[in-house]
Amino acid sequence: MPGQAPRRRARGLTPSPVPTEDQILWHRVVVEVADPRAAEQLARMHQCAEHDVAPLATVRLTVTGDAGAGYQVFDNGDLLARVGTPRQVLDEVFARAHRRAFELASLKGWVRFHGAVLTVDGTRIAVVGDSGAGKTTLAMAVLAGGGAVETDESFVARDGEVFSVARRFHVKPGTAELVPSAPWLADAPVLDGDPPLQLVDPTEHGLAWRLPVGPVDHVVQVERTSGASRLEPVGASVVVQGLIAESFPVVESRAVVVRQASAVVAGVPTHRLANGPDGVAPELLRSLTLRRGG
Amino acid sequence: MAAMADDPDGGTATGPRGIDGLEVNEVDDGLVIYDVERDRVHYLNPTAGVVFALCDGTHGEATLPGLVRQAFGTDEPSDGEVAECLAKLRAEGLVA
Repeated sequence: MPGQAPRRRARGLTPSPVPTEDQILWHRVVVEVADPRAAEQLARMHQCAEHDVAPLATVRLTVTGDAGAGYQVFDNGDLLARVGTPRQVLDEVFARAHRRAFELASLKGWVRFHGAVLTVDGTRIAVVGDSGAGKTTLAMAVLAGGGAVETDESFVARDGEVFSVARRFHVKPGTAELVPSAPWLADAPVLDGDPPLQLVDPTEHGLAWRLPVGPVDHVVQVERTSGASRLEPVGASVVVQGLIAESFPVVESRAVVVRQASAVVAGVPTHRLANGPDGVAPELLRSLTLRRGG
Repeated sequence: MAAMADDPDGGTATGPRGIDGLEVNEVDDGLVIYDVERDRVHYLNPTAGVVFALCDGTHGEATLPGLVRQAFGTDEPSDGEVAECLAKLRAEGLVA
């Protein structure tokens, strides 16, 4: 865990000639880093998602130093942390940028939920469930099948509108074998760790990555099963329970979390997807689009 | 302040009513209610949701079963089921 440094003004910064820019929710995130090793590490998380809303604020993070002497991470000129490795630089920058984005979203009345947002045959589907339920594998299968994936991890919601958090999809080892129709998975950069994760940005593989703001057409609660995959209707209140359990409040009250979780499913068909090892869950999602079409 | 209920049994009974401080959210299969005071979330099925909605202080307890059946347009639930539901709502601190 990188140590937190006291706030101090940056002096003598040597920013990289071309800072990287990402958008996360309503924030433009500008990262300047001079050290090539830290820059290479940060590039692994850089994403090019196309947002339908313009950023309202900018967070400017600057990284100085090198692996020999250590790194300093500055947030808009204030010293944020001193860390020793490029990976710790990435962790600091990533956490800070997202924290700022989530705080602003929270202040605007949006609540963050753990879940994926996918589009299959024009039908936008929120998929909520615990870690390990198979959301990312499902998302990669949808992407490989011609659908779109906004996020495999989290979205914010307010009054029934959903806005996905831009983050490279975090793909666990073994997923490529489960989704053989996604050969591009093998080309994604790897984030060292336990387990090492492949970091997928669809735009690097010629695929669209657009993040709209609006309601979803279905909400699916996904659960892992050792049996056959199946999709069945489930009460909205069951899905609301799942959403509340998988919420990440920042400053908002629990009442707001409950209200916004309820708003996500209001008037929206809700389902439970038992996600088994047979690999048919993506096809079951496709059946939702057929139902919509009558 | 409890309202006087429109009660055919006498017209002077105080009807059950939802307690203050509840955040009530409607979903397709009932209500999701957050009790701010106790920091608890309650999930009410459609029947319980209708019973709760009728607990506005203007309906006497004896009239509730008929009103619930009228809302659903069926012969169910029975008087006993509504009474049981109301008892649960009271036990959960949602209705006084």
